[in-house]
Amino acid sequence: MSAASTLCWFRPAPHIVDLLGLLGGRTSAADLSLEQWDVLVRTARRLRLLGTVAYRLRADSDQWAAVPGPVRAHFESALTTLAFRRQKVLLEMDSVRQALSDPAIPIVLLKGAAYIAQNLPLAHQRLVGDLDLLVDRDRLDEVETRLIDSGWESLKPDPYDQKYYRDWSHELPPMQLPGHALELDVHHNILPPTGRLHPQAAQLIRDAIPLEEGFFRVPHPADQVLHAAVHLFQDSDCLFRARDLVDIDELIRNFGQTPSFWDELISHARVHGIERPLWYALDCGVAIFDTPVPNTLFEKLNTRGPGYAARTMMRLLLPKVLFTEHPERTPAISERVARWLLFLRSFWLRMPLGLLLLHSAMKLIRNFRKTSERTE
Amino acid sequence: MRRLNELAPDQLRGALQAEGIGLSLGTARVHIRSDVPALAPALARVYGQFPVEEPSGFFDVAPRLELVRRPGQLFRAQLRFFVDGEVPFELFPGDTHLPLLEWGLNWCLADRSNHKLLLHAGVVEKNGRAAILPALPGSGKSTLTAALSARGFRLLSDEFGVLDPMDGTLRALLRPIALKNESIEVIRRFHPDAVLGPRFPKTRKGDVAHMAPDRASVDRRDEPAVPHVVLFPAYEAGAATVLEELPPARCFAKLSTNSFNYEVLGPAGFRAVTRLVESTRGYSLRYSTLEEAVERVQRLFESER
Repeated sequence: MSAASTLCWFRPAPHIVDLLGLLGGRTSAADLSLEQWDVLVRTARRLRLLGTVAYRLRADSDQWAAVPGPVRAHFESALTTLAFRRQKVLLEMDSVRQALSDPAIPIVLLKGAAYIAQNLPLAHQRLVGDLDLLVDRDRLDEVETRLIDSGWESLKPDPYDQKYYRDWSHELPPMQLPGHALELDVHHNILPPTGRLHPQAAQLIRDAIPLEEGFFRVPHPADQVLHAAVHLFQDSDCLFRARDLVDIDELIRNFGQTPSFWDELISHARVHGIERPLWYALDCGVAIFDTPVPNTLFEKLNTRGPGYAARTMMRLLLPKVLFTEHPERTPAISERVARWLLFLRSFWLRMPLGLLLLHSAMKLIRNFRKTSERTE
Repeated sequence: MRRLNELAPDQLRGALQAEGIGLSLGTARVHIRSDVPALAPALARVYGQFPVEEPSGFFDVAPRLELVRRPGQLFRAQLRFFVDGEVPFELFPGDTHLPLLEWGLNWCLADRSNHKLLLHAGVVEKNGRAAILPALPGSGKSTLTAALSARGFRLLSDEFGVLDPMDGTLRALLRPIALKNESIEVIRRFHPDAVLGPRFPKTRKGDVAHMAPDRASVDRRDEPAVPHVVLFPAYEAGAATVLEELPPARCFAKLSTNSFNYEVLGPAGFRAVTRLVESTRGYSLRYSTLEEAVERVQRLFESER
């Protein structure tokens, strides 16, 4: 069923093999030496995958019992931290609900908060750094005013930052409730307006599914996968982002059991014009995590997926970029080049050259000012 | 196994530059590497009694302390704390190697130890019974902990009081005691035999010098200890020495707010602190002279025998 696994374009670096094996349930914890655990824990920590490894090991009592005590301590610590942060997200959702529920504005939870609100297995495996919301662009000012009236403060008081966010990005400058741990990011779309792809935000909100608690909504299952895909392949340089692929894999394993899911995934991708990032996400998922994707799906996407040259290039570069190098080694030249190329690609996808130059120049001037202020 | 202070200086410097050295601190094992020449003699002094372990197996933290020379700053080298491919904080001045290593280790250990309750406290033990000395700024926690360890108490930790929420015992996380400003001279006078590392002037916390844990404490660092008393020290110039028992509720409040990760542990943290205050007595100890304070604690341990 996995098309790409027969092609086998992905060959994990030796230090990644055990990590992928544990994540996929193929490697027995009892077979790993302490030295192997050492590399594995350090690599997983840097990739923000320690909680995921821990969660999956603990789900299997034999595996869990086979983890050496000093190593298990790190997994226990990671799981405790995860549970705490999950609680913080719920707390923040509560604060937002109080600020925006009367009169109610349609609010869609994105990414981590959506996984937590649906209580997906994924919610217990990943750290959520901030609370991401999606609101209709027409209601953005109202949402911002009401949040500020309820005590939220902008974390980017600098006028240039404020202007940059409002003119060129798909979210308000980040806000925070004083004393609270989480940042609040209010989006009006899932990709910046300056980029090459333009998802239909209004459609995302229309398709969102209300939660039982009655206030928040979560994106349609297909849109959750699509959002994770564009986040990784359209809005990032993919550097050390294997974590995002794990999210996509988990979402597909969860939602893919509903028969209508696959057709919806294709039709939603078409509506928003984001077949390419979806193609990359599925291709990587199948090759790296053995994500269960029906073969026919690639055929259905084919004409709107990446061309032969692009996919060959990405298959060449991504394995060198998605994962960190061995913790005891410096990155090889080929890895540096791959990272640099995908870094350039991310800018190419995100903004036109003129804007990039303008923004970089502004940043340079401001950094220069800051440095000279510090030395004075 | 040879102890750190038994290695020839060049040998230690070479090992730090190449494969690094392993140190067991009790509840954590660290792997240290560095190309900073001055770090070797400082380590040999303040970790002198620790056996040097092969740099193999599993480590809780494996940092590398590196010299960074930027163009234009050839003569003003800076230091970088490098761990697992990342540099978690800004560069430090080039002459603060040991404080940066200790500070960085604290940061990593705190970040990775949410399976234990971490109290911001010194812990010492005598006859199987431990005293927890939680810190409030300026309370003299480190000074009193150092003084007690100089008078026959076993040292378990100075910065992190590590409580196992499963069995309620304290675990050693044995490190040099960071003495600040006046405390350095106070301890030198109180215990002339104390092994102190180099003095680092004007760090973020003022002048710092580290006191090496004694040999007996090092040799027993894998033994847990049962909490017996919680002592909140309060240094006050010119004050008479007063030991006052605290009601458990107050003790609970002070302990939980003084923990690094009480909130993170959730219900497990609540249960651990509850059990701790129910199984110990809490005291506030106001003092101005170290001799009297130590004597008062010794008497407390005798009387409650």
